[in-house]
Parts: sequence; C-alpha cells; structure tokens
Amino acid sequence: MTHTPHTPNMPYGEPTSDPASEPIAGKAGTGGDRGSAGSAPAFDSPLRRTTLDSLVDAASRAQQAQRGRAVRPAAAGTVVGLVCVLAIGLAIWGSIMGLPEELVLGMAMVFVGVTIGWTLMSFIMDDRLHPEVHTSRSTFVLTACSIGLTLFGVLVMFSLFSSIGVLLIGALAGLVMLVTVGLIVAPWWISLVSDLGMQRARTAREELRADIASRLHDSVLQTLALIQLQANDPKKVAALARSQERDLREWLYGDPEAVAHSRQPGGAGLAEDREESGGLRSAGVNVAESRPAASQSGVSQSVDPRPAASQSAASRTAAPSSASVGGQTAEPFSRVLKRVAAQVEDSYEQPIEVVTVGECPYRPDFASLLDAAAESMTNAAKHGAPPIAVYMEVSGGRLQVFVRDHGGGFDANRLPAGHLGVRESILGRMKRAGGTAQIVSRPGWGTEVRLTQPMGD
Amino acid sequence: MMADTAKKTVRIGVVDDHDLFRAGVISTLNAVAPDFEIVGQAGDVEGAVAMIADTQPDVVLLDVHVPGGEGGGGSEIILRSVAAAPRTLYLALSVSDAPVDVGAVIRAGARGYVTKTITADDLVASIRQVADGYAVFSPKLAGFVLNALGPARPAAAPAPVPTVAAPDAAPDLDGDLDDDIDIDVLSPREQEVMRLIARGYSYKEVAAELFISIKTVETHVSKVLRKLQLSNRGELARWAAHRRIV
Repeated sequence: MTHTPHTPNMPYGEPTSDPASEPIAGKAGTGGDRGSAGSAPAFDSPLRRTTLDSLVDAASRAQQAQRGRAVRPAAAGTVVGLVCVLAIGLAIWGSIMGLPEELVLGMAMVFVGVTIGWTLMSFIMDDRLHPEVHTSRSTFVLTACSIGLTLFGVLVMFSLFSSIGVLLIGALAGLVMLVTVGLIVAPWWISLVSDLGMQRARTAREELRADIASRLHDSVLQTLALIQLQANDPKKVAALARSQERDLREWLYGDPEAVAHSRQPGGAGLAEDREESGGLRSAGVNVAESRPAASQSGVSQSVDPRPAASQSAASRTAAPSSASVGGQTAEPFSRVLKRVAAQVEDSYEQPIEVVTVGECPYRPDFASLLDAAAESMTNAAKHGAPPIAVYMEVSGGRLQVFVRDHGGGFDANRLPAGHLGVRESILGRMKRAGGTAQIVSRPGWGTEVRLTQPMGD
Repeated sequence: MMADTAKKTVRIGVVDDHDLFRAGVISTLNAVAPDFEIVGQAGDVEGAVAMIADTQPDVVLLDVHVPGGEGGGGSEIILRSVAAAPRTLYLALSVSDAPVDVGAVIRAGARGYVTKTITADDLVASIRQVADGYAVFSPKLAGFVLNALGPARPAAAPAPVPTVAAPDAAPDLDGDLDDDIDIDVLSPREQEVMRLIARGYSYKEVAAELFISIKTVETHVSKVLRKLQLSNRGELARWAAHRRIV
C-alpha cells in the first residue's frame, strides 16, 4: 500500500498517450459504428455460408429429426410393414415348396413376432435418446403383442404334430420352466442393472472431477506458480491473487456463461502480466534505490502500454458483445462492465469493486459509455488511490456509471488545453454519443466520474 | 463519538472455521486496536453458541459459512444466541458473494457484512460502528439493498409476483403487502444514501454530499438495515435466487 510510484496530483491522461489513442476512435466515428462493423465478419452471416455448409446443415438437421421421437412411430411402422411383406413372401415360398400350411403359418408368425421385438430393442437400447421408451405404454403393448404372436406361431407350428390339449399342457410346462429359469437368473440380472447404474454415476463423477481438475490446473495452479515466482513483489502477488479470486468466485457463484466469456480475456491478461512482470520488477528495484527516479519510471512505464491496453480492452469487449447482439442473446451490460473492470484491475494491479443495480442488455451504442468508463477506471487505477468503486445503475430510462477513487484529486476546471485525456476520451466521447459526463474532483477527496447515457426506449 | 468508544474496551468474539484466518484477524485486531479485547473464538456452530453465551461479547465477527449445528452457519449462530446473549451484536465477515448467504445472515440479525479482503483499518472502523449500534454497509451490501428494495426492483421481477401467488393465497398475500408497504420500499432519502454508499462514499462523505450530519446518515442506514431484515421475505428470496450481488 505504501508503494505508490505515481504522484497523486498528476492530472488525468498524459499528452503523449492520448493523441495516439484518439485519432483511432475519431476515425471509427461513434462507438456504435465500430461495434456494428465488428459484428459482420465475426459471426456467421447468411452471405458467408457456402452451399456445402447448408447441405451439411440440412443433413445433420435431418439426422437430428430422425432421432427425435416424432419420427419414431413412422420408422417402426415401416419396419413392421417390411417384415410383414417378408413374412408373406416366406409363406408363399413355403406353400410353393409344399410344406404343411401350419408350419408355414407358424414360422411366419414367429418371424414377425421376433422381428417386432428386435425392432423395439433398438429403441430400448437407445434409452439416452428416448428415455420415455422404457415406460411408454405403446412399448409395453407392442412387446406383449410380439410375445403373444410368437407363442401363438409356435403353437400353430406344433399343432402339426399333436392335439391342442397336449399342446396347451406342453405350453404351460414351458411357461413354468421360463418363470423358474427367470427367477434363478434374476439376481444376475438385478446386479447387472445396478452395476450399469453405478457405472453411469461413476462416469458422471469422473467427468465432473476431470472438469474441476482441468479448471484448477488452468487457473489456480498457474496462479500459485506465478505467485511463487513473484514472491518478492507483494503488489504483484496481491494482483494475481485478486484476479484468481475473481475468476474462481465467478465460477463458484456466477452463471456459467459469464465464465466462458471471461476466461478468454482473463487468460490473455495473465499472459500480458507475465510479459510485463520483468519490467515491473525492475521498477521495484528502482524504488528501492531512489524515490524520484522510481516514480518517473513508474509513470513512463504505465504510459506506454496504456493506449494499446485500453484500445484492446475496448475492442476485445466490443467484439463478443456486439456479435452476441447479432446472435439475439445480448450480453448483460453489467457483465461487460465487470470484464472491463477486471482488465483494468489486471493491468494496473489495483482492486476495483464493481456494484451493479438493475440490468440491461449490452447494445453497440453503449460502446462510448463503456470506453469512457474504461478510461475513467484506468485513470483511477493509475492516478487515484484505493478504494476504487465502480457503480452502475439502470433506472428511469437511463444507464449510469460512476467511477470513484480516493486519490489526491485535481482541479477539473484548470486542465491545460493539451491534456486530451479527460476532455476528449471521457467528456467528448460521451457528448458525441448523446450522453453526459461530469467529473468531480476535490483535493484530498478524490475523483468521481459520472457518466449518464439515455437508453432511448 | 470515537473518543467515547476508545475509552471503554470493546469485547470481541471471533467465529471462523479457518484457524489461520481466525488467528490472523485476532493478531491484526490486537495490533491495530489496543482497546479491543478478544474474549473468545470458535470454529463451529456449537462452539460459537457456547462461547457467545459464556462470554457475552459486545461484537461477534461472524463467518457466514461455519460447519456444525443444523448447517445454518452464521445465521444459525445468531438465531440460537439471541436468547442467551441479547446484547451481542454481529458483523458478518464473509468470503462468499452469494446473495443467499449474505441475505440470510443479515436477516438473522447481523448489523452488517464485510468481505474478508477488507483492510485492517476498515475492519476496525466497521467493528466500532457496530459496537456503537450502527449498521455497516459496504458498497456491495448497498447494491444488494438497492436491487432488492430500490428503484431497479420493479424492472427486475414485475410480473411473477402476482402470478406465482395461488388464487386462494391471494388475500393473505395482500394483507402482507399492506403491512409491509413502507418496509418494502426505500424512502427517496434512503435511496440517495444507499446509492452514494454503493458509489464508494464513506459515511462522512455521504453526509457532506447530502448536507446532513453523520448521525443522520447512520440513522438512515440503520433504518434501511431494519427494512432489509423485515421486508417481504418472498420477494427478497426470489430476487436472491435469481441474482448475485457481485
């Protein structure tokens, strides 16, 4: 906490950095333009799809539909029909060959019954696709029918050799045998079934465990390794710990979608951190040697990566969000804002607390507000002092973002004309987008940037 | 006010199931605030209830997730200790951001909620505030309140409330709403105070911003806490289930 390389009274934004970043924003016009331009190539517009794509799509859709249960009775009907034709063919062939008609009829019945049973089997085996088959009434009825038909076919076949009475007694004996054999086999069957259930549960557990393990490996273990490498830099360690905490917290308590979104930028930020760490450590050495030199190097160092960092932050967040606007599921604004805050947090190693009240989906015309907020957070992290608080509220048809720090503050009215940082990137940007920005800064109190954007609808 | 509390010792109990964390908090408090006296500590629900009944601390620092008991954690400790130690006040010290946890412990009667990443000075200040009988609102808790009772609430869940209620339960619900009509809504002034706290203002800064005294701010905050504890439970629970406070 005592390690503050930058002078607190430094006005926001350096002249060296902002001319570099501003023309880019100017060329792109308002943020809305940039957002919509970015969405076109990023996502699959109908124009970019080839014939092959649509053919593959159609084929897979058809396959999908076949698996759907709506098609099932029709498929079963087709199979039964085919089997009937085969059976009739068999019967005709049999009578041509001069076999006794009981035998031919019985064989046909047995054939049909067994085939129906096996047809059902394929659905029963596929119980992941049709979990309702096991319990559906039509399955039971069909199974009973096929069994009945088969048994009847057998009876018809054997009626060639003996009278009905003898046959029935024989059938009864066979039934009793079946039942007793079934009873004997039942324990095996039960254990098989329960084994299957256990196997499934174990597979699910293992999948979950692998998921958690890979998650921990990718995040926590990496962070711990980084922390060990940087153990002599408490600020860096704190920043790493905080970024990891944020990530893990999001995973534990947040919605899974947000994690999927946030992971990619987070990983990139970590990589940047790693690159930057060497330079930062050398700056730390400077601090130990001589105070003024350290503050100089600290400032100049943070100036250099900033335009790149803030630009990439804006574009990185704009790309997925504007794309998702095109894909109907717009990302909540609070999530986008938190991601931007997390990036600033990672880049400048200052904790930023984000509180959001209300919610609205992110729209391309909020890009200016988002950029202005990112700029404010960057300034707060660079020149202000913690606690840094970001507050977002959606109410009364407008979207507001407040960025507050507890640094030394400065006099907003006496900004030199050359200092484009605040004037252009925050005030001008909001004005162009039809919103308002207000910067309140008092010596000893800190600075608050208040951004308001009407929602329009 | 500060001088008053500095004279008399504040007796503190610490409840947390992580030994290391507990030891850290205790040594920090001993180092930063010599007028604090740690009278007891516990790592599970039963131990905490016994400790609180035994030592009657002024303030208990309470972790939200504490093992033991019936699994109720911090809120269970508060509810079970009220009878034995009616004067004890609670400050929830949580690592969890889940609104269910925070909401539960506040509703059980905690006077505030701070995260475990809080700085030592802020923690001491928060304990003093609780010892003085005031509520401690972090920006996150203020955001929680604004979401639950503030301006954004109608936008969050307007329709489900009437549709969820079964027709036969409707009269009962109406009665509840009538009773809670001013409990479920923040006054404009309270909203202003909450909003400023959510924006990162300290009580002192809120007072200066609104041209009122710190005492008035603290009164507003305490009133809001009370509303939070008493407000329509279903609404808050439903909100908590659908959102997180982060």
